[in-house]
Amino acid sequence: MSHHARTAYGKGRTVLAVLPILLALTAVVPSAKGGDWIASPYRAKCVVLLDEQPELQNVWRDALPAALPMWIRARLGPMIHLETSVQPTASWRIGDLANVRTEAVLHWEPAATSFDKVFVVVVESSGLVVDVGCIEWDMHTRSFSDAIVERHPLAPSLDRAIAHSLLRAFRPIGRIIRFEQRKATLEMRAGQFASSGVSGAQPGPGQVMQPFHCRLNARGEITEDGIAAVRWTMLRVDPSSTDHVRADGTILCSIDSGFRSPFRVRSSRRVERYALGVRSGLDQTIFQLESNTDPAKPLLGYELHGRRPDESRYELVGTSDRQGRIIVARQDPAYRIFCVKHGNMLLAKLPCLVGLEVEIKLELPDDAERLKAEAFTRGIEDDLLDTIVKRELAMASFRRRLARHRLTARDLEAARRDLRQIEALNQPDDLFRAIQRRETAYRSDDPFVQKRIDLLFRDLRQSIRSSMDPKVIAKLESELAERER
Amino acid sequence: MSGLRSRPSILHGLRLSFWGVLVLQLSVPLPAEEMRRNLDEPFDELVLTSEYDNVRIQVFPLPFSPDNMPRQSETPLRIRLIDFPDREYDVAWKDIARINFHEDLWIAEATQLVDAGRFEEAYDVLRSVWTQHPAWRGLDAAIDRFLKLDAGAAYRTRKNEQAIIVLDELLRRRPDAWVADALMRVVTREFSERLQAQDYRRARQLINWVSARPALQPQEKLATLRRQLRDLADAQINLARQASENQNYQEAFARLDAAKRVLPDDVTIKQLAAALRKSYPRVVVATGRGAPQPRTMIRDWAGDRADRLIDRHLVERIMQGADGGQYRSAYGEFQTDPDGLAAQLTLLDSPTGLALQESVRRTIAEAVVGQSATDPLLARLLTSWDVRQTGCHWRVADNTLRWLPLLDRRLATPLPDWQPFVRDNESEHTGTYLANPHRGPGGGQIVEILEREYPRQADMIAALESGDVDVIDRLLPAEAEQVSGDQFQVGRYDLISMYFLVPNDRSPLASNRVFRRGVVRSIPRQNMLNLILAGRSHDGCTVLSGPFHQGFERGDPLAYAWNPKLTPRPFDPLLGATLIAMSWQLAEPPRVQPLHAAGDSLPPPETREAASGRNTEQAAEALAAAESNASRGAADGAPSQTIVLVYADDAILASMAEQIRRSLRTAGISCEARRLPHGVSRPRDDDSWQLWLADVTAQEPIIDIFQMFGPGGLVTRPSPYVLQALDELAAATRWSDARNILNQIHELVYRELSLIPLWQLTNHYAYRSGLEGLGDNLMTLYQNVEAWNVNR
Repeated sequence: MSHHARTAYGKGRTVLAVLPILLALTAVVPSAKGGDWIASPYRAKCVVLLDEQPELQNVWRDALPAALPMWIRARLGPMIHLETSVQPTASWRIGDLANVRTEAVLHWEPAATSFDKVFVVVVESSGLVVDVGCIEWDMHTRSFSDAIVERHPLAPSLDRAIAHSLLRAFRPIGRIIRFEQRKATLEMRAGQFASSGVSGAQPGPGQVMQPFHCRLNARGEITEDGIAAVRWTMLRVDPSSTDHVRADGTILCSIDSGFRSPFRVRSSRRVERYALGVRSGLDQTIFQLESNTDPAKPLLGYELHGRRPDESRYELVGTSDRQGRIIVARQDPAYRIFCVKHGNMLLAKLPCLVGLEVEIKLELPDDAERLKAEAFTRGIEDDLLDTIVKRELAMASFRRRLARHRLTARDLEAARRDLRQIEALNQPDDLFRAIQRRETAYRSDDPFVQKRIDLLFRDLRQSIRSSMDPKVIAKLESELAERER
Repeated sequence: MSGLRSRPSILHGLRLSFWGVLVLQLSVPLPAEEMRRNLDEPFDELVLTSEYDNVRIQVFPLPFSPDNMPRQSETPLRIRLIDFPDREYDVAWKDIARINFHEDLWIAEATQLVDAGRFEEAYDVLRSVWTQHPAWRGLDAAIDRFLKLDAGAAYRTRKNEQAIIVLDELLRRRPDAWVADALMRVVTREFSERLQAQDYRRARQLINWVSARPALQPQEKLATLRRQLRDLADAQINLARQASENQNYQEAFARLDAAKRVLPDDVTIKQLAAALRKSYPRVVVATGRGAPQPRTMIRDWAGDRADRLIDRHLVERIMQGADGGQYRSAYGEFQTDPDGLAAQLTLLDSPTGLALQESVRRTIAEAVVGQSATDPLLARLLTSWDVRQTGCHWRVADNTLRWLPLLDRRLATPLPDWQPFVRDNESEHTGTYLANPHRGPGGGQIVEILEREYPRQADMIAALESGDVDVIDRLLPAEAEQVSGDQFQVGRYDLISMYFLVPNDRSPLASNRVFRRGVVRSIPRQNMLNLILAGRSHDGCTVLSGPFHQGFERGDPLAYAWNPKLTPRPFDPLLGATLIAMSWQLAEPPRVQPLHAAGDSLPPPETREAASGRNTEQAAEALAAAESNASRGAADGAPSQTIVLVYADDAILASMAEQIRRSLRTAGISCEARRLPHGVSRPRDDDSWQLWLADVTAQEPIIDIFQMFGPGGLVTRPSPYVLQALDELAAATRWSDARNILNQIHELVYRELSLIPLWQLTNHYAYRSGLEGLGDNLMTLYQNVEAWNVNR
C-alpha cells in the first residue's frame, strides 16, 4: 500500500467520526447558482459499470453506493456530494472510455445535467487483478477528462481503487468573474470548502486551467454549440500565491494567450466563463502545422520554440517535417509557452500543456515567398555588414594617419588612398541594383504575405541608406583638406 | 642537467657531438636563480697577502688570463670592485698573494656539483667556461670527469640512451678501451630491453649504430646481437610454417607479420608470404580511418568502403557517364525511366526472397517518404506516390524526382547472407573481413581483407613500399605522386571529396552568421590548398564556394549543381578577425524575434539584426567594441575565447585541422583542434565544440544535398531557407527545375554559411602490381572486390 493511500485512510477515519454531523449539514444539496457556487459542495454522480463476474457483482453491487462516497468524503471532505449507481458494463469496455460522448452520459444518468460532475467508471476483472477506468464529465463545459486507467489488486478494496481513479479524473472548475490585463480572478466551485483547508482537490499554485465560453439563451439554457474552449489560451494559478484558494473562494490566475484579447466574446448576462483544471496525461503532443489557405498542405521547416512560463528566453524545440509535424515530448513542467517561427517571422504564440492533447492543429499562413525574400535580404544585410566593417577599418586607418603630429607626404598619400577606399565602400548603388534585380521575383497572391515582403525590402533599403551616408565622405574630405593646409 | 634532460632521442643525439649539443642548449635557462646571477655577472678574486689578513676581493674580470699574465712591475694593477663598480682602484702587485680567475672558480664549483650528482647545474657552469675560454687549463679534465660520472649515473638509473650518448662523446674525446667497453655494455643492455619491449625497430637501429663505430671493435658482440634478432624472427617463421601446414592461415599470417616486424627485409619471410597468399588469398589494406562503429553518418568514406563488403547499398553508383551516374543493384535489376522521373527495381529470385522484399520495401519507404516503414502515415503516402508491388518489381513514381534518395542507400534491414564478406574480430587500429561462407560461386578469390590504420599518409606509402600492405585505400594527389616504381599502380577514384567546416548549431557562437563569415575570411583557403597539393595544380582540386563541387574539369557534367556566379570569398584576415570579435561581443543570437505587432514580451530585438546592419547604432557599437577587442587581441595575443575545432581520427583530417588551427591563430583567433575518439565520425550533439572539420564524398549532387542536410548528415538543423528549397527540389518534376533549385541552394549556403566550404580534392588509391582486378575510376575501393586476384 502506498503512502498516499495510508494517508487517505487516516483522514478517512477522522472524517468518519464527524460523518453524522456533516451528513446532516449536506442532506439538502443546494443548487449551484449564485452564492451557492462557492458555498455549496459539488454535486457529483458516479456511474460504475461493473464487470458481470459473479464475485464482483455479489460483493460490490450493493456495497459501492455506500462505500464510495465515504472514501471521497474521507479524501475531499464536504466539498463534494457524491451519489453512486452501479450498472452492468454490458458491452462497454475500458478502451471505449476515450470515445464517450455526452449522449452516453445522459443514457447512463438521465439527470446528468443536474450534477456538476458525472464520473463514468468501468471495472473489468481479469483473474487476480482488477482494471479500473474512469472518466469525468463536466456539466458546465460539457467536456470530458482524459480516461484514467489503473490496475489494482482485486482484494477487498475495489471501493478505494475506484475512489483513487475518480480523484485523479476530477477536474476542479471555477467561474471567471474578472479579467484585466493578463490576470483573471476565478470563483472556484465549492471554494469556501477549500478555504477551510479540508480539501485537496482545489487548484494549487502553478495549476493550469483551461478557459471556456458558455453562451446561454434567454431562458438561461446553453445554446447549441454554445460551449467552446477559449482558443490558444490558458490560465495559470498564480505561482507566487501561498494560499490555494482565498477565504472568499476566489483564486488569482495569470492569463497566457496567443491573443492580445483572449476573451473576445463580449461579457453579458448570457455569457458565462469557466476555467477547468487540466493535467497532462500523455507523453507527447504532436503539433500539426497546416496552411490556412490549403489545409491539405503541410508546412515544412517551421520552427517551434518554447519556454517555461517563468522564463523569458525561448529555445528551439523542433522544426516541422515534410508532414508538417513537430513532436513535442512532455518535460517537467509540462506547461510551456510556445511560438512558431518561419525564418525571422513570428507567426503564432500559444500556451500549451504538453500531453493534454494528442495533436494540436495550427493553421498558419504559407509564406514561402516571403521566406525566399527574407533569405535574399539577409544575404544583402550580411554583405552590408561586411562592407561597413571594411569601411570602418579603413576609416580607423585614415584617422590614425591624420592624428600623427607631423604628417609626411607619404602619410598624406596613404590617407588619400584610405579615403578613396572608404568612398568605394560607401556606395549603396550596387546594393540597390542587386535588390532591384531580385525584388520583383518575390510575389505572393496573399496580400498579407505580400505586405510582409514589401516591408522586408523597405527596411533593407532604409538600412542601407542610413548606413551609407554620403556626408561621411564629405566630413573626411574636409578633415584631410584641413591637415593638408 | 637541463641540457641532458631535454636531450633529443638517441638517433638524433648520436649524430651530434656533445659540445654541439652544448651549443644548441645555450638558450636553455639555468635551473637556479643564484647560479644564473653568478654566471651572468662573473668576478675574479684577488687574495691579498698576509699583511692584509689574506683578504679576498671580488673584482670585475681582469683583462688577462693565467697564460698571458702581465709582468709584475711597479705599475699597479687597476681594478674595479664588484661592490663599488663606479670607481677604479690600483693594487700593488706585491700586495697580491694569488689571483683566482672566475673560470677556475667555476671549474671548482662544477667539480663540486658533479660530486654532488647535480649534473644539470654542473653542465651549465662548464658550458659557461667553455663558451668563454674553450682552451682554459683544467677544463678538459673537468669535462671528462663530468662525462664519466654523468654516464655512470645515467647507467645506474637505467637511462640507457642518455648513457650511450654521453659515453659516445667521452669515447670520442678519450678513445680508451675502458670507455669502449662501458659503452658496449650499455648498448647490450639497451638492446636487450628493446627486444623485451618488442621494439625491434630501435633494436635494429642500435645494431646499425654500433656497426658504424669501428672504435667499439664490436664484431663478436655485434654478431651476437644480430643472431638474437635472427633467432626471434626464425621462431616466428617456424610457427608460421606450422600454422600454414595446419591450414591455419590467419595464424600463419600473424606469425609472419610478427617475423616481419623483427626483420622486415628478410627474403625468407617474403617468400613464405608469397606462398601463403597463394594458398590463402589475403589482402592487406592501409587506411587512414577505420569503419565507424556504430555508423552515425550517412555518407562516410570509411563507412561506405566497409559497406561494400558487409552491407551493400540498395543501389550502387558504379561509374560516371556522360548522362550522369550509372547505377546497379546487388539485389536485382535497376532501371530508370527515360524521363528520369521514375525508377524500377526487379528483385533477384532467392531463397531469402521474402526477407529481401521486406527489407527493400522498408528501404524505399524510408528513403522516399522519409518515415519509418511502420508509420501509419506510410500507407497513405505510398499509395499517393504510386509505389506498387507486382511480383518482385518495385516501382517508385509520382512524377517527381523523389526516387533519387534510393540511390546509394543502405538497406533498412541488413541482409547478412547477401553480403560478400562478414566482419571478423576488430581491434582499435585493424579490421578484418572474411569471405562470407554463404556467398555464391561468383564471390571471388579473396578470402580475407585486413585493414590497417595509419596515422599519416607517409606511413601508408612506406608500408606499401616495404610490402607490409598491398593496397592504400586513399591518398591525396600530392601523396599519390610520391608512389612511384613499376611494382606499384596508382589510380584515381571517380569521386571528389569536399571538405567543410560545419558550424555547431547548438553553440551560440557558431550559430551566428557573423562568426561564420569571420571564420571563412580568416582561413587562407587557397594558400592552404596549395600547401596540401605541394604547390602543384591538380584537376578537380580547388577552393569551394558552397556545398557543391566543380567537377574534375571545366564542363564536367557532374558539376550541374555548382553555381558559377559565386566565387569563394577571399582571404581577409583583418575583416575576419573583426567579424569574429564582433560575434563574441554580441550577445547570444536570438532564437525568437519579438512579436512587435502583438506587443508580447518575447526577447528584445537581438544582435543579429544589429550585426546585419538593420540597427546601425547597435552595429556601430558592436563594431567599436570588436575593433578594440580585435586590436587588443592582436596586440597581446590573447583572444577572448577559444574556438574548438573537432575532427574524426583520420590521417588527412588531422593534418588539415592543424593547418586551420594555425591559420586562425595567425589571425589572432585562439583555436583548439580536438580529435574525436577513434571510430567516432561525428561529434556529440552538444555545445562543447564550435566547428567540425568534415569531409564528404560527392557522388550525385542532387542526392548529396539531401544527405548533407538530412538526418545523419552534416547539418542536422538546416535553416528554414534551405529546408524550403530542399522541399521544392524534392517536388521538382523536371531536371531543369531541379538544376535551378540546386543553384539556389548553392547560393543560400554560400550566404548563410551553414557549411563553411573549404576545398575539393580528388582521391587516389595505390596498390602493388601483383594485385589484379581493382579496376579503374572506382567509386569505392572494394567496388570490384569479387574480381580481385592476388596470385602474382
